[in-house]
Amino acid sequence: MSAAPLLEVRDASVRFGGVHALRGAELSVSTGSLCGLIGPNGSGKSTLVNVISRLTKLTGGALLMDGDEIDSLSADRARAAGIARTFQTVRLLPSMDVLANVMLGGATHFAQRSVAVNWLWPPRRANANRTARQAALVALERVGMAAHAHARPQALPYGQQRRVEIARALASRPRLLLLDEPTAGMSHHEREEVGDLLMELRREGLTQVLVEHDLAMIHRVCDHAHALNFGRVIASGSTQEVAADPGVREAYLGHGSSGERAQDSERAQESGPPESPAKVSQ
Amino acid sequence: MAIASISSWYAGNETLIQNILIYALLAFSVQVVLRAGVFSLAGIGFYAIGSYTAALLLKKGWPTVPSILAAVLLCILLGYLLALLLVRLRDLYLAMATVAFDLMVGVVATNWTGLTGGPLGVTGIPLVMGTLPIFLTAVGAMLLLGLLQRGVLGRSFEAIREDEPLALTLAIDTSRYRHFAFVISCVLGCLAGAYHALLFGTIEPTDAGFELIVLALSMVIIGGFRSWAGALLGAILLTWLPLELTSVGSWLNLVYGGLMIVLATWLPGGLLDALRALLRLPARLRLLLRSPSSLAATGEERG
Repeated sequence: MSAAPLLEVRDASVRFGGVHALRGAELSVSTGSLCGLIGPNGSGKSTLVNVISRLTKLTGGALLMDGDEIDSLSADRARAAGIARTFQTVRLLPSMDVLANVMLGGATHFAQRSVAVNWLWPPRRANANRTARQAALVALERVGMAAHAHARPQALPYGQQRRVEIARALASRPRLLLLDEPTAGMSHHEREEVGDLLMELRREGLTQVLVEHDLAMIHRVCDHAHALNFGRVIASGSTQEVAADPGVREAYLGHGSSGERAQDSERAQESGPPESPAKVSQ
Repeated sequence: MAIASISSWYAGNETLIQNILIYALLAFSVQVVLRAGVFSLAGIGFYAIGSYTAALLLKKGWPTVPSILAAVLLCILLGYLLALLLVRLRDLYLAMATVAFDLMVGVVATNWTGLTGGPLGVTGIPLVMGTLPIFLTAVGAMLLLGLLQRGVLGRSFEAIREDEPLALTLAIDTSRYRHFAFVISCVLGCLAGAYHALLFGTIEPTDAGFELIVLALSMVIIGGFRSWAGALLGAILLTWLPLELTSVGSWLNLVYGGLMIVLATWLPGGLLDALRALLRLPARLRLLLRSPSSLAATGEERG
């Protein structure tokens, strides 16, 4: 916690037409930490992840990495600069096998170079394919999916597909990993395993931001947490402090949680009961 | 004996082969953008630009190769500028805009009488083109397009087509890649047009009209847009089929329409996908006989 912040979000606002998805959100993620992001649906968590990965432009405020402003960076440059992410839904490409999917994550340097040269200069092609393959195999090994390298992603169980997505994000050896609800729809056992994986990655020094509904999971794996509601950070600190915060409890218990739970139970068909608001008090 | 029969077959079918090769280049021009998720039909407009540029330069006394090269360079420049203009458009809007561009090229060709000969077109173009250069160009295009769809580079284009935001988060500068595919498409269309003009000696401003747009798109959809091989298959089929089906006369369009509907419904990957599935069948049967569960495990099943 005492380390210098790798990522800082200052007074971030995002407006889509008349909708304020973020209004002055503040966030600081120190190097090597695992930072949890919680909040009800529509509170701005995913928007914040989209802002950090540069898919969404800020309407106001600033985004800093290592103290340098990065809010003018495009999403592809952000990935090249070391910000990798996963998505809320599985977004593996069904037309290629698991290894090929992960190789795309391991070729970020190649992807940033001239298309014409990448196309017509054989040594660069060969080199890129080889290094991407190696990086992908290492990443698949890392998440325990090496045995499925040649499977089609859609033939895998949901939990394993999500692991492949994490591997794709890891393949470029990012400095910051953004995980948007990586355990949504997983069984309890799968959640535990992913939690273990994230903690291992943290021990190896990878800085992570974890968006998660399950407060027990946040509590188990994260160093600190930020709670969002209505596009603002309403609480931040240790996971206990955030969970005990009256504003956070109000946000989870007070409104709209039925709709959110309906969605959760849809995702969690095989994973037992949906998130209960009672977890807030744990 | 065999050589004699091949050469007599060739003599009887040379025009068909030339047409197939030229249409293959045009089909490639549509396929290369569709594969990258860029729904552009601008290749047909560049077919017209290429044919007029090469033909007029040749008639001015330029040698063959510089005429064609000049046409290609002009098309690279115009294609680059057009892509800048159309960069924000996607999908159907891009298709509409590029069709509009094609038709505008036709309008200019019809009305700029001083340059293009107006509605009468250009005639008396020196017949400097033979089958061999077209064949070599087509083979070269296949090799280069094959490289463009292989490895990490090829899959990057697939990622852009299937999920552009995802591609962005994989460090792929999607607009640069789309732009690139667009310019390649313009060059291929240009080459097809230039070769056609220099091979057959005449151009009419209606050559590259709506019918050619539909034909080129049909070739790619019927053959399969995921690979140059699909475009080639479509070009062969739709050039050869009308000759075989002369007996059905104007019902030909009905045959095309029916084929398109069947393919779009059951084989969105085109005939190429069907062919590949057929080729894989023996291996899959063998695998199935050995261990029925292995299919799912190796993920051969496409969901």
